[in-house]
Formats: sequence, C-alpha cells, structure tokens
Amino acid sequence: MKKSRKILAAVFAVAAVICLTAAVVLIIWQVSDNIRTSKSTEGLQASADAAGTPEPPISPDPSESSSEANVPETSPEPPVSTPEPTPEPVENPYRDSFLANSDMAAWLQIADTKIDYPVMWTPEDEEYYLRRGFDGSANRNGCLILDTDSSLDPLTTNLIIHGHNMKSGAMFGTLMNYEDEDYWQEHKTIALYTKECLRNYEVIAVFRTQVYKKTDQVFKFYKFFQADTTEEFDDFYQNIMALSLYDTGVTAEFGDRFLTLSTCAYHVENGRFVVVAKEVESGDTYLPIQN
Amino acid sequence: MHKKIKLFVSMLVAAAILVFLPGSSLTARAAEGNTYSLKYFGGDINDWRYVSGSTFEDGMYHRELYTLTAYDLKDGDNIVVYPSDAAPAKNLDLGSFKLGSVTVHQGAQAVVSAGSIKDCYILNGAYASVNGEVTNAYLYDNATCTFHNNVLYMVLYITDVPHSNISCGGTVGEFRIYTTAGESKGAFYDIPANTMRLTDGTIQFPVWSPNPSEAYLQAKAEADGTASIQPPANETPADSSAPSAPATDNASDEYDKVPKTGEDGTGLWLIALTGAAAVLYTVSCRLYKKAK
Repeated sequence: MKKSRKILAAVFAVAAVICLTAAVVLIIWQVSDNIRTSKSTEGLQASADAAGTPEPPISPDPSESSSEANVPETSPEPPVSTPEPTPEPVENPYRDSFLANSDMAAWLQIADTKIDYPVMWTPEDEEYYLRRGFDGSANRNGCLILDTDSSLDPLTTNLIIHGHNMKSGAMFGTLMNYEDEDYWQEHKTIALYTKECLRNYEVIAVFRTQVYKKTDQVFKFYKFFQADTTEEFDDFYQNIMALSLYDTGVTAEFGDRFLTLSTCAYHVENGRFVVVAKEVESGDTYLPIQN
Repeated sequence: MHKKIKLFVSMLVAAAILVFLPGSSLTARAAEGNTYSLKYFGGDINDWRYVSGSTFEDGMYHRELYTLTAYDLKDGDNIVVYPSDAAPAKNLDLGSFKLGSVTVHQGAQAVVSAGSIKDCYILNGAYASVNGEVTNAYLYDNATCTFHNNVLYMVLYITDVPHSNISCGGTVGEFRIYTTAGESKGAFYDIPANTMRLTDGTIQFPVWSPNPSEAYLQAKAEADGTASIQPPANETPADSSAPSAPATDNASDEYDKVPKTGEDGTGLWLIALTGAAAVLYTVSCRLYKKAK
C-alpha cells in the first residue's frame, strides 16, 4: 500500500513538473514573439528614420476641433482657380521595407501610440500574416493585414485593416483606447504610407460591433469596400455614424474615402472594435520604388 | 476519512482542469454552398446578371450569367431569383449543377433549368417554370409554377383560400397543403406523372393515394438523410409575405468570414497549466507524506 502511494506520488510530481515546464515554455514563447515583433518593427522604423522619416501627422490640439463645425464664422476667400503647383515627389521613407517584402502594402502610423507597423496584403491568402511576422516566420502577434477586398491600386472607397488585439499592446492591442473620447481627442489622425504617397485620415467614428452570421440582414462594416453610388456610400456612412460611441464632428459625403481599423473585442461572441477614419488632405507623393 | 475526501476532491479538480483546458473543444462544420442572386436586365444587357449573396440591390456590381456557370457555380450552391422590370426574354439556364436551393422571389418570373434542385421555393406571386428533378418544393399562396420533372415532396402554404396554379410533368411523391397557421389541409401521395394540377387553387388531379407507398417512404428517407434542413411536416411554415431568404438556410449557422484577430488562449493555458501543476504537486506531497 505504501509503495503504491509512493509511486502515485511520484507520478503526480512528474505531471506537476511537466505542467510547470509547459507554462514556462509558453511564457518564453510569448516573450520571444514580442521581442521579435518589436525588433523587426524597430529595424524597419530605423531604416525609415535613416531615410528621413516624414513628420508623423500631428493630431490637432484637443482644445481645437477639426470638424466642420469649427469653420470660422468669417468664411475665407473662395479658392482661386489657379492650380497649385504639383509637389515634387520625394523618396519613400519606407522604401527599404517595401523592398524587403513585396507583400507589404503600406505602413500604418498613429502618432504617439504603439500603432506603427507595416500592413501586409496577400490577396491569395488573406490570413497569411495573421500569425506570421514581417519576415514570414511564425509569430503569434502576426502583422496588420489589409483585407483582400480592399485595394490600394485602384483605391477602393474603404480600406479595412485587421490586427490582433494583443494584451501586450502589440498590433491593435491599444486600439480600444479609442473608446475613451479623451484618447480620441489626442489621436485624431492616422497616417498610411503607401508606395505612392502619404495618405492622412481623420477619425470619424468609433464603435463596437460584431461579425454576423451569413444570413443576418444587418449592417456589416466588413462588407463595405466600394461605393459606386450615393446610396451605397450613405448606407455605410449613416450606419457608422449611428453606431459611433461619440460624435467626432467629422462629416463625409459621397466621394470621400475611409480607412477602417478592426480588431477583436469580447463584449459578444465574434465581437469587433472598429475605428473608421476619413481621408483628408494627402501628404507627400513618393518616387517610384526601385532596387 | 476527511483526508480521503480532500484527496478525492483535489484529484477531481486536477482532472477537471485538464479536461477543460482551452482548445479541447473541437467543432466541425459541414461544407455549405454559396448563394448567388440573379436578376434579369432588359435593354442593352438583355440577359441575367448575378451578384454574390442573397440580396440583389440596385447599384450593386453585377456580372454576366455565363461567368457564374463557367467559374463560380458549384453543386450545392443556392440561387435567389429577383424580380425585374423587364420580363425575361431568356431562360435561366444553370447547367447541370445539383443546386442546394432555388428561390424565386415575389413578383419574379423565371424559367429555371438545372441538373437538380434540393429545395425549391416559389414565393407568393412568383411565376416560375422549373426544369430538373426537385427533392422538396415549397410554394406560397398565389405562386404559379410548372415543374417539368419529378418532385419528391411538395408543399403549398396558404393564408386563406388558395389561388395557386401549379402543375407537374413528372411524378409527385407527396403533396401537402398547409395554412400559414400550421393547419394541414390535406396530404396526397404518389400522384402519377403529368397529372398533378392545381388551377386557381382547385385540385384537379384525379389519381392519388391517401397513404404513402413503401417506395416513396424509402426515397423520402434517403432524401432526408442527405438533406440538411427541411421544415417538419407539422411546423408552422414561413410567412409567405416575408420569407426570410430560405435559399440560405444551409448557411444559417455560419458566420461571415472575417479574420479572427483575438489573442490566442495563451493566458488561459498559462492559468490552467500553473493551476494543474499546483494541484498535482499538492496531491503528490500528501500522498508521499501518507506513504511515509
């Protein structure tokens, strides 16, 4: 009896050690993924810095508002018909990153946040980079991915970027900070560096939603990519404005383009937290990327 | 005795933690068909056009029918026919595909041809002619439909007095009439080929059986075995005035495909593993002490 108890005790002890070892391995794995993500991103950022990173778009002062409501009472002079001189194209600050991986579609940056990552686009396999790093190696943080139904060339009305909601804050781990209106006040603008130019966006709506069943006849933000008619545009626009957690004061009309950032949320099954931004004045245009 | 109970509880907790570790539940889902909506366009187009999904709204980007049959359509897919301002000058030829379902919407007109159709929905006020074997046909109120081949199971849902015009060139294994309140108005079995006819809701077929034959029951059982969703005989039928996209029944439990961007279960695994380690270690220590 004593012997069998000793054997049983040994078996339990071994099982405990195995469980503990597995837990340690998991921790090491997670930490190493975070380190690799951060090293890889920092490397790419450094290369951009060396190339002379453009000034990230600065969010307007919280006390000011970018909405149309803040148009000065005395309207400025109507624009003169003389065309503005076309700005000289400059070197793309993310040229090296584009050259390093042809799957990179753009670089997404929200000033003064952790969101400063490459955006990958793999139309043949949308989720290829969902659990892979920029170099293609396995990484649970994955990369930001541009929805395969979105396109930069030709540019679709809506670009949807998906990213993991990581507890470490990596990828879109901090996107849900936009639930706080004060956070939005400080981070109103988003920059998307594409191969051709810098596209600036202004946050227009922030909301929680979910992925619905195929048969559900409801508004699905993830189904909107192209608006060929005013009705299509208005349907999306009115729905996002209605869902928005707060009024950003930003308005849009047919012809405007959107950038939608989406990450998982846990308020419901298949929940999503979404930040929609409207494209505003474009920044620099870039020289063609060549080896 | 008290210690034995504590030991038993500890072991139970350890077992429970291991059993309920995240990732242990695996679910399998059956493959489903895609849904395509079609609409006839007159004028310069003069042909059927389609979009992916169960709605066809004005302004949507639509494609030529030949693209659907040449590239996209597969066996098991679902077709929804939408009404058009232009009367179709061309038949809706869907090749020899074995379709999961075909739904002809209210006010739509179509001559549909396919290899076979598992579930065929002809909604109130629709005009249809169907070529191809049909397993289950569901017709609503004032539907007008001619089936050119056999129909295994046919149901007509009526709100009050039927005004449907239905005929079948093949055999009908079972024909039932239900009110929208779910009340059965009759069941007719084994209707011979080219005899089944309803004119303005009046039954005009002379030969039928009040009871199902063995052959029919076997065929029905086989069809049900492969069928995914079929309304039970005593189930209240869908409201014919607002059918809820029956063509997509197969996909009713499926979520839209959107990248899953949640963090994996690392945190839960960590809690479970460390918890299990602690419990196992405690149990081990107690057993060892007892053995001493």
